[in-house]
Amino acid sequence: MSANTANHVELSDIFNEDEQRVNWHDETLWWIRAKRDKAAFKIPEWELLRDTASQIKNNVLSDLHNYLIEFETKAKSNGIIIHWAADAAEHNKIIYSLLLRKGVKQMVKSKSMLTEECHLNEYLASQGIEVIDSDLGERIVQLAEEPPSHIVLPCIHKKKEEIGEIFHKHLGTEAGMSDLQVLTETARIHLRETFLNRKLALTGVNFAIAETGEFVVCTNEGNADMGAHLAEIHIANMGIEKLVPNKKQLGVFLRLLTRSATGQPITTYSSHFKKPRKGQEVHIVLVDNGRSVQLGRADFRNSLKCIRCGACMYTCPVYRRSGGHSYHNAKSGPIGAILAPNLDMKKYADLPFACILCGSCTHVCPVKIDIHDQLYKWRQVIVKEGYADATKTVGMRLMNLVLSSPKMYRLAGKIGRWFIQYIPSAVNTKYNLWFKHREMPAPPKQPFRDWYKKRHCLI
Amino acid sequence: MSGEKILAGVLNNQPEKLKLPADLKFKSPDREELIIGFVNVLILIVVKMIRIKCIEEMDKYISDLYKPSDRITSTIPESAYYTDFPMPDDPHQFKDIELAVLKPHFGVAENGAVWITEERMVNRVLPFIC
Repeated sequence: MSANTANHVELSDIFNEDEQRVNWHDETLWWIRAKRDKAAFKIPEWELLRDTASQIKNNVLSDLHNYLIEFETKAKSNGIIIHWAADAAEHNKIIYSLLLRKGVKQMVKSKSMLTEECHLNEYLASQGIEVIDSDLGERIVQLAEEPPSHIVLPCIHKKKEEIGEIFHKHLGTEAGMSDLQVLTETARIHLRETFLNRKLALTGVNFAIAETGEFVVCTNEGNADMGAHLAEIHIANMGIEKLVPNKKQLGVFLRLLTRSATGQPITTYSSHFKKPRKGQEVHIVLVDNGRSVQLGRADFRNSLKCIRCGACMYTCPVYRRSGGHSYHNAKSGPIGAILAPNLDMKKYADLPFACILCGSCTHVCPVKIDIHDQLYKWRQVIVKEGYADATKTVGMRLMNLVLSSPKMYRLAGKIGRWFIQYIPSAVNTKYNLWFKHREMPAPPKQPFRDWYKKRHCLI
Repeated sequence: MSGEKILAGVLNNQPEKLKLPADLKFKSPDREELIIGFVNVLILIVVKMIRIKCIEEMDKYISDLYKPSDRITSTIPESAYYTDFPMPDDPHQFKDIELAVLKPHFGVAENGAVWITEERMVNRVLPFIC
């Protein structure tokens, strides 16, 4: 994927080539943020719910070892087969070996950000397995051969006309068709055939309950259920942090999740899976992939509380204008920018800098993750570890030199004013990033220092 | 193998144990208010709601809406559409069902959802496949 080689700034530039699209993307996401506010304000105890959810997750992370053992024991006694995967490669191999054992070459998959994180589709394709994503948004980006740009709304960057083109090419709709009713009906028929014919279905997990060994999958389309209930084998994959201690705490999270995610009161389906149906096999793959390491980083541990609602993305002024693909990672936006450097600090060194530290993400997070604090802290770690961009490192050293010496500061001011006055082309250039979307100011008649000195007769 | 390794890593890295918060308790509004709340959410999420006094009214509503050739099933014994599936385990037998009428345990006023468990579905796939 070419996206892996470019950084956030370069990828944002690509997204920003179409200004109208950026404006539309920005407004659409802000509209969802407004819907979220409306839904949240209807619940008088909203803040109490956020606090409670945050504390429950604190408890889970502080006793994760025992909760995992409890969950495994209970799930096994319910007749579910448990697998553990240390990393993405092991996760992918487990899934592939299950397909191989059953002699199955096709699989239907509902939304699972974990499979995006592990690049499961690419891996299985290389082994000759056909995967069909059954979430409508995911199916669209899959047909377009793109990664999702948002964890809840995977194709939020696409307009309906573009979706019409994709459907025309792959699903045989009329050219130029952009009627949503027609497009969704076409997708429904296409996916229904898939559901009826697949022997193996994979779903994600929203919450897993240690006390009972069951797991909950939330979808609006019922696609996880259709896949799982028709297939002979159901594989559910989950990160090890997805646990909730008891069933009674689920209400706290279900009340928060969808209101934060889309502004709906709850997802159309919140399905509890506990035991395999007669003749069916259910497997759960528990995936670490860096999570146990993140658990040990006191400053970044909180990121593991995330329930993947996407609220931090809708509200982020950078995300809304740079698009999900600019984060070159399965999990984009503010939360993606604090999760990704844990997996690969060098590759994702640019992400914590793709933030203006406004704190809006922290303000809306349903489990009260201190997202903007963590972004700020990641910057320090990345610079200390030597992964910062070379121009940034040199620039900061230069700034340090200038700002720590009054003499240098005065000299630099003088040089700057001289250039603006006599050779404006030296600063009015594309190499000066400040100039990119702004005019340079007119040179002042006299520097502030001289004015102040004159006025107060200071030396 | 990986399980032990992961658990060891988690044990090593998890912080000092923090307590669970107290269970939340909320006062439930009275029954009238609950019904109004439930109906209001249904209106908000554009769900069509029909009030009936007896099951015959429901059957009449369905027969007015659907063609006689449509395959309709219900788990409610008093309904004319009640169907007994002697072999309910094969999910694929339900693929041409047009409408299934199920009876959930209860509705939730705050979000308009209804709760239903497996034994009231005939087969897990039925609410999704029709």
